[in-house]
Formats: sequence, C-alpha cells, structure tokens
Amino acid sequence: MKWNKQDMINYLQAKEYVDTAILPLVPVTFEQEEEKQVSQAFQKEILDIMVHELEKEYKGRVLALPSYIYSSIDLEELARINRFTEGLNQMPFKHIFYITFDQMWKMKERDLNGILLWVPILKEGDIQQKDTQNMINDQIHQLKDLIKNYWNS
Amino acid sequence: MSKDKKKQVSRRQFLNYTLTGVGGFMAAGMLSPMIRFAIDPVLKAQGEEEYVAVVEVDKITTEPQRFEFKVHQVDAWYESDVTKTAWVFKQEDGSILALSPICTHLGCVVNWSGNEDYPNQFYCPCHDGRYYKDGVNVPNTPPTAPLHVYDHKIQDGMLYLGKAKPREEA
Repeated sequence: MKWNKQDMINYLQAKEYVDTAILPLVPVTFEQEEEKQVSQAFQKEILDIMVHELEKEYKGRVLALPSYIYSSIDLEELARINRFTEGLNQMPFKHIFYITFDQMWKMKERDLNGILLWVPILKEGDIQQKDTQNMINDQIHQLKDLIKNYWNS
Repeated sequence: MSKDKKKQVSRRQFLNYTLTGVGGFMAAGMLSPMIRFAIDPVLKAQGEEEYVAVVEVDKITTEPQRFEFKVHQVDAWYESDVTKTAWVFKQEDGSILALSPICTHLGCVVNWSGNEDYPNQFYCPCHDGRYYKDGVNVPNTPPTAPLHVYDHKIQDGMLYLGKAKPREEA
C-alpha cells in the first residue's frame, strides 16, 4: 500500500495483514559538485521505481512510505531515524526495511533498528535504455525474493 | 383595472425582452461549443472499452503463462502507460481464460504454482491465499472472491484483452 488516502483507509482496516514497512532513505545535499547532485537525483528516480514495483507486487502486506530525506549521516541523524523507526514499531510493523543506494548507511547498519537493504544503483545512465531497464528489473526481482525470504524466515 | 395592467407591455419593455432573448441565444450559441471542447476529454474517457493486443493465440497453452501488456491510463492528473499482467491459458473445453494476477484479498500479485506445496494453484506470497486453476479461491484461505477475469476477444490470431472484471458467480 502507498502513502495516499485510499490506501491508508485500506491499511487501517486491514492492519493485522500489513506487517511490513518500506522506508526509502534519500540523501539530498547541495554542497557538492553538480554532477554528484545529478547522480543523486538519478539514483532517487530509480529507487522510486524499485519501491513502486515492490509495493505493486506485495500491495497487501507492505506499506511503502514516502522518502525519508537527510543531508548527512551523523549521530544526530541516527537518533532521528531511530526515533522515526520507533514510531513504525508502534504501529506495529513486524518488518521494517530501509531501502537506499547510499553506502554510508551500510557503514552504520548496526546502529539502525530496522533491516537495511543497500542496493548499489547506477550513478549515471539512461532510464530509457533497454540494458539499464533490464538491470533494474533484475535488481527488483532479487529484492522481491529477499523480502519474501525475510517473511519466511 | 388589474386586467389592463397585466396586458400592458410598453414598447421599451418589449424591445428589452426581445433583445435580451436574442442576445441570450447568441451568447449560448457561442459558449456551448467552447464548453463542449473544454469538457470533451471527460466525455471521451467514458467511451467504449479498449482492447489491447497481448499475444498470438497459438502461443497459449493449457498451462497458465504470464503475459504483460501496456494500457493507457488517465488518473485525475496523470496520464500514463501502465503495465498489466495476465495469467492466460486454454481451458479443457478449448476456450481461453485470462485471469488478473491481483489477489482479491488485499491486492498482492499471485503466481501460478508459486508455492511448491501447491503446484497446480495460484499462490499469493503475502498471506498464503490460494486459487484453483480456474481462478476460484480455495476455501479457508484469506481471499473471499475468485480472481478477476479479463474480457477478451480473438482477432486475426491475436488475443486482445480488455478490462478485468469480477467473476460472475457460476
């Protein structure tokens, strides 16, 4: 389910069936080279597609949240995200997945209270190209499997 | 006295009425095509069901196969091409059945023999919902309705699919 009115109504009625939250972690920084900003936006675009596809496949069990935006990962940020996660825990969600292309989260994985799915995403490319699409589709496929395995474990 | 009053229409009044009347008709004549053009897309959207070519009929087997096709969709602000999927197979009597993969429980995507324990059923990975091959939900699993069925037609050896509709109870 998505973060929109109709899905939220459905979610609140079927809460016991929706035990999984997906939170995309998206860096937005302006104090860096322009090309990095471009690739940040490009990666975010692909991350959106991935989350969209995951949500489509597992609509009845997953709540896909809007992007969680941050600029740098420091202690303050870790406290903020864990507070946010605590709120999700209370809903309750049994499985909380963070999904990101930012490898800095990978370094902080132990300090997070949810499961981190770090996906290496192309820094540049053309989303209209068949090769790129195939690659993204393959990644999506693997993510679907991974989430299913977490459910069954 | 009152009778007289009723009948009295001065020349000025008469001209006023006529001119307003004629002016009104002219304004309506100018505005109505404009309004018509403005709301035309709205009127069109409710038009006939559109069928999309999906696959050659001779590729359809008795085993359900997953086919994707693109449908043009208009939601309030967005117009987009949405990829839809269908599980298509030939039934025993030779007729074609195209099932929507959307679980009628909470909307996950079901897969044909998606679970090793139930090789001849559609399986929903979210809450273990199951459906028989003909799309009817297996009792005592979460779904309470059969999978929806796409309207279909065959033309020049191609299968065309329309909208997925709830199944009429047999």
